[in-house]
Amino acid sequence: MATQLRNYGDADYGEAMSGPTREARLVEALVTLADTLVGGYDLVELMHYLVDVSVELLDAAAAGLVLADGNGQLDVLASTSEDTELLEMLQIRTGRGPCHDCYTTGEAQTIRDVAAEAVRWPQFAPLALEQGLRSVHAVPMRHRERTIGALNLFRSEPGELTEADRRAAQALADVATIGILHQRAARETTELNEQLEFALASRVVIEQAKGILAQYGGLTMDEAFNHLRRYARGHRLALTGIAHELVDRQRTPAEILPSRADAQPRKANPPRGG
Amino acid sequence: MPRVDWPEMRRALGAIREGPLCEPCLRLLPVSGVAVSTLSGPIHTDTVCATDDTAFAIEEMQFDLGEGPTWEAFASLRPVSVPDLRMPDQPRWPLFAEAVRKTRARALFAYPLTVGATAVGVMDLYRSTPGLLDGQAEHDARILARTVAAELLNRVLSAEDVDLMGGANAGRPSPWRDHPQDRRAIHQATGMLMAQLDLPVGAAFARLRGHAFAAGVTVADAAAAVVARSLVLNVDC
Repeated sequence: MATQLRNYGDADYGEAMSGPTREARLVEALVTLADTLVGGYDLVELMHYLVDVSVELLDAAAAGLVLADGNGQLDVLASTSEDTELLEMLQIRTGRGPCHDCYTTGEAQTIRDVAAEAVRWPQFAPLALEQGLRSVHAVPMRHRERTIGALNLFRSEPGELTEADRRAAQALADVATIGILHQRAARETTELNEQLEFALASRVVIEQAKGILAQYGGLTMDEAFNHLRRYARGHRLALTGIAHELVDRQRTPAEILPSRADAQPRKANPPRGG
Repeated sequence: MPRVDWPEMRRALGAIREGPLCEPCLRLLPVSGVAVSTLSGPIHTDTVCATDDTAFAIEEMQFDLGEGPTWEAFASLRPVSVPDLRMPDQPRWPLFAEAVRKTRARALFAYPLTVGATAVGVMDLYRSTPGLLDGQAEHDARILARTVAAELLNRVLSAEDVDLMGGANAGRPSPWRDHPQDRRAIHQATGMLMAQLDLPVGAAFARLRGHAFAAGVTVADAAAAVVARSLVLNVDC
């Protein structure tokens, strides 16, 4: 890729954006995005960085990022301006527009002249033109068969991105996609682990809570459990929650049992275990 | 690469999804007994199924002692093979090595039960003769462990909903447990000691475990005596 990126002859870039500088900055951007794979980082920050760096390094006046959630519902996660955000939201709401097409097809979309698309996109085209945006290049956020969103680049001139810019945009999107997928997988695992830990612990704490009540009130385990359940129902609380509080000693057994007098001590006559 | 007998394997995997987790594994693998346990911390351990008393005892002694190949497989997320349980020097689990001598088990193979990066428990295979599993059995065991892990996770998480609702199964033996013995009495006794000795849960459990260790009985036996009120532990002994 490095040799590709060195050949910036396009006049659009001006003198300040000389080849090696751009290449170095692009490499730096890719490294920054790749760094997000290591350890904790903020997903929102990553996506804002992606749109900002796209406008900074590529021939684009504005950029927006749309991402699908687990149910395939698209949302605008980052954009370089409020206007761009509006433009993305319009496409999501109407289900029509180049960025939306990019997500649904998983293929890059190039719109050389937005003005020529007024019939195809009667809502998107006028709004884009109003914002001074004349052409669009939408890059899929894709990993293997799975498309999770699109990075959308808007230019103020008609025409299309150079081959080098298209490749650079896709490279940035690819690295960010891996970062996003990686973070999602890590989060799902954490949630699953927490859920599992809670599930395994909940059985244990209910038994421990029964033991506390049985000892305190001189009850059998079944009686203790019935008191616990009655209390939970009467107060519309989760059984597991009350058990946790008893075991963590945030709640006393006296609160659960009606009164010491009602509970019959059984120490003289050992009950069967629960 | 060992060749899997797919018709047999498919039958076993189907049986795991429909009923007891351990028996299909015992039928397919050249071992003497199989046990499956859930683990998440020192207190939150439970044997889900065991094909015989030895398989159950191997789980129980490791839970009681807090060491052994099962714990190592769970912590490392890697299978742990012990081809000869009676080898004299076993520094990784000295107490377990001593205890397991009294059983008929000679070799133990512990497979972590993982779904993605989530470890739900361990499948233990024991054999009454020493030696490693051959490549074929090792390969089959890994395939079986994957299915057992997925099925176990599924059962634990779906049974949990019932508990949370305070429904019919709350506080009862879990519907997915198919071994008659379980560790409920240990948790009940821990709660009783908390109330009696005014201890936090960790200390109460440690107290129970300490007593069992000193008395040379299992923690479950000591717990059963506490629950039956035939054993009263004092604060200072």
